Amino acid sequence: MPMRRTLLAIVLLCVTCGAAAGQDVAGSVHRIDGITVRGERPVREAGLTRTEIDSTQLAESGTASMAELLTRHTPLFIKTYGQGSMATVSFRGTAPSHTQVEWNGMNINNPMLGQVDFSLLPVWFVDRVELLHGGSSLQAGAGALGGTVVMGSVPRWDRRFYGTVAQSGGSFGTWQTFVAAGGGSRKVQARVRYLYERARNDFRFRNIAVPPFERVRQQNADYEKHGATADLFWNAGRGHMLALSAWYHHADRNLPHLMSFQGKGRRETQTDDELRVVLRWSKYWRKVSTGLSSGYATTGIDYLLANLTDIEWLTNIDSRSTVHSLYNKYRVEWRPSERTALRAVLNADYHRVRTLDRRSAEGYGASRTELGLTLSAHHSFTSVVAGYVLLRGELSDGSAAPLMPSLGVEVAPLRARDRLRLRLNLTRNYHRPTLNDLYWLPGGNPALKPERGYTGDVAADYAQAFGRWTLGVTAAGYVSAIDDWIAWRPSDYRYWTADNIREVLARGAELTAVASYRASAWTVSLRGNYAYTRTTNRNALSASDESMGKQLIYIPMHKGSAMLSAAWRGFYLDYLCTATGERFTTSSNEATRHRLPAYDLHDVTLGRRFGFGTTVGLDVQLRVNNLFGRDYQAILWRAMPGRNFMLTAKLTF
Amino acid sequence: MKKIFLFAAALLAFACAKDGGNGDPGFNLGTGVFVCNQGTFTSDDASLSFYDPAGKTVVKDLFYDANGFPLGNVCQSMAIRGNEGFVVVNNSGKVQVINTTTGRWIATIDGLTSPRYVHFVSDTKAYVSDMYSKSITVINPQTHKVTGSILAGRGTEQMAQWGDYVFAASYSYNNQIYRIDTRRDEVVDSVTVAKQPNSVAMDRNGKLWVLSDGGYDGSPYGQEMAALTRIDAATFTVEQVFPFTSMDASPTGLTMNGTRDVLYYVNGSWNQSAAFSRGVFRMNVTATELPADPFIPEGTHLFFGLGVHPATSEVYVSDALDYQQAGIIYRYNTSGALVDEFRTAICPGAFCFKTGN
Repeated sequence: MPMRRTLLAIVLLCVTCGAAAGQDVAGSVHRIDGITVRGERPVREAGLTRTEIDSTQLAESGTASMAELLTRHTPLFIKTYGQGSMATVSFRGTAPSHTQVEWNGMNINNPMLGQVDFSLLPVWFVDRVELLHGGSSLQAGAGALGGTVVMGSVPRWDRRFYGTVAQSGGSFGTWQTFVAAGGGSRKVQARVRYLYERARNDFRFRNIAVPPFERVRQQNADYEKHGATADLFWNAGRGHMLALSAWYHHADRNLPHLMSFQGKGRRETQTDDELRVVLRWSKYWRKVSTGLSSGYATTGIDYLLANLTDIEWLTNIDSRSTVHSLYNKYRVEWRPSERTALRAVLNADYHRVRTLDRRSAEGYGASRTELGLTLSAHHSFTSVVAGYVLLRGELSDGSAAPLMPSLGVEVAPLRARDRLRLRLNLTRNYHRPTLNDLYWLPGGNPALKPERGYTGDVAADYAQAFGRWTLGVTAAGYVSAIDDWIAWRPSDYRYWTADNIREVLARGAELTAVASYRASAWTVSLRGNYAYTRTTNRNALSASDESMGKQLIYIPMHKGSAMLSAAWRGFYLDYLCTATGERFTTSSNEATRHRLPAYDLHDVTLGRRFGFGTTVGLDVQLRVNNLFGRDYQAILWRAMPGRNFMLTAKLTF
Repeated sequence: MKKIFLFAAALLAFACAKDGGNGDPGFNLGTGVFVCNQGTFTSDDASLSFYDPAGKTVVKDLFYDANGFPLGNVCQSMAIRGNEGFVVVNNSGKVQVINTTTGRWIATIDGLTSPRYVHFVSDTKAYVSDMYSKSITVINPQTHKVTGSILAGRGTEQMAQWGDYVFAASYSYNNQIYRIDTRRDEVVDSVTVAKQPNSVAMDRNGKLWVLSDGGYDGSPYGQEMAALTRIDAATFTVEQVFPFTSMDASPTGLTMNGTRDVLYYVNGSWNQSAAFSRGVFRMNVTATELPADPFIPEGTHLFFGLGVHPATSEVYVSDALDYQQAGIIYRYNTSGALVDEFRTAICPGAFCFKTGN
């Protein structure tokens, strides 16, 4: 019986996350209607490579940022400047702008920069996180040459009133307070969350860049952040669903100096403000469903660089950037039978950007209108074979990108269909230049072409339960050719310019595995993931350019993590090891001191859960990061903290 | 294995750096060429290379190899006084002083803002120009200490001297040449040239040559035609302006041969499609117009830093490639034939010639 229950749980997980990936509120409807439990996944999920971060991993990573979560639990590589500082992603060896990020169906990549700073996204604010790998991302929208990270809120229809109060305190003056409350009826659910976080972040490190190599305190790395989210879900009956979600955050960050800095004085700060609101409506009939979502987002980034001279503080850069975006998406889906689903998604987005350095008066203002249409047909030919074809077209400011087709096939060869699935996916994708690439002064290039990605990938999922054991493995291999890769390069002398100069070949493998054992009083699980990433430049700028055939900078060839978790009568222990391979910081991959050696970090969390009655729980945990005090650099000559601690008490009701 | 290696490397680095010049004698460098490799902006990968023109050998990472710690962020320039080299590390706000024979670190002049160039006035006085600071820092090269400052009003770049006067260019969003009286350490006069003067050179006849890039299209400061300006140092008046012929021109790196009668500079454009000849240009100080054709055509390269050997007048010009790998130095003889080429490190931008031992 436990085996069957586990299988059922896996299927349930697949189905619910599958519905959620539809970028609408369908998941909720499915859940309240109680029709989630089916023997098969919805046909429109066939052929897609998607992984979801387990809800227990999410719950246990509450105090972390998305940057830490993705580093620990996915094959993605996060390039980070340290705790609280900017963190960008590389998915399958691509650039940060090649990962698209969705929150409740709305893209949140900054249209000016193209990327997302994952250090600004707290795990507390999301209820689900999943990844669409490679070509599978075209389901969610274009531009994700590496893949898409999908996040969102999930209502808890069964709860009348619930909440969380959590307080953390840790090394280097790190404090975090989180409060959440929600509730309602089976018709209406509301929830608000608030997070406050600050850190002096003045860890000690040995400065080997400046003699006499003393242990010094990190300067100017402190930060203060706060943010809130609010969700309102309304099940209006007759298949009507409405959801309103809002997200706001504000972050003040001091940016630390390089280890070698010995100037008179320098202030470098960044302030981020972000507001996102999205309203989603969907309507379900027996065979047809439709949905409309509209969102607004505004981002403000202020960056200040000031240097102390012998006379005064002199401001060198005082840049203010503002982005306003409108998002609209209309979706209609027709399921003529259980085995076929036809979908059309139309989106119309608008972005307006203004950036100005108040010191130099340099800046630009620009806007962009984007229209896109995705048509897809998903069909289950037999119980063994299913697949889809998809075609997406886009217009950006009136100019059309070439059509983006995607094809996926899935085979479930075993009698127990959910035990093994094999997939093949072929996709052509495009990524438009960011507004900075196009218009930045000086060097922006309005003649830039979109980056083209051709991706082929194969994947296999295997899941089985043996008595008290369950095992799940997802393995994927991919090849991606990305042409017209945009890079900023020096033109003659003092200016850099954006150009479609690189041809990049990214290939690699991803492996995610979980094994767990459950007995009456205790459970043990081991989760691991590993990414092999070979991303090389395929063209030379000139005969002397030695970057040809070399790994792109700051992308490790090997990256993996393993987490061993054990729980016994309310106690729990997580042991996490994250290993990052050697990284090059020169495009020619020189084996000089500019190469960053591999490092492994070990974190331990020990906690105890107390229950009071049926609904009230208290969870007290101590987390030790960098247990062995590894001295390492994630980015050349940027100091990172040694062993540090975080104590968290979380009350849930 | 890697960990052991890393540990050994760290230990070695520590040991090297710790003995402060007692144990390890460092290198034994003769005459040659120091190359300042800027490295990546906001990364401590700047480096100093040394090239021996006779043996055609290169020490790529001289400072780090000799001292076990990095130079810092953005190695801008270097100047030699006696057997000490003053290496300006711009974005680290410091000047590293080294022994030019051993490569060993002697001292750090820190607490600067955005230092660019060192100009020696005497054995006990040198000026350090600064891109951001409104003043030029005065240092004592013997004690390696800051001794004062000269208010210029704006940031300063390259400097040149005639008699008791030092001339400093003010580049960033500016068009001024300041005249400093070295007896009083004061700016006593200024003259206007074409926008953004980036380099200066003093010829044998007491003429100060100033190269201005003119700014760029779309700049809030505005753009005007790049120009070479000749100023009489004694009277501090503009004698002649040689405007370039294309608004796309962005000339840099004005320098002079050892006998100070021939000017060299690099001309290029940030507009890759602009149709005009790019490369290293050579012009006699008595010429009446700018040379039309380059002495060394740029070809497929992207010329970045320029230096002319004071004794041999051989031309050293760098190509930083993609600025993320070791750049290449091309060495040409006086007839423009390639003598040698060698790689140094990331973004080689300036040369400093060591002519004595």
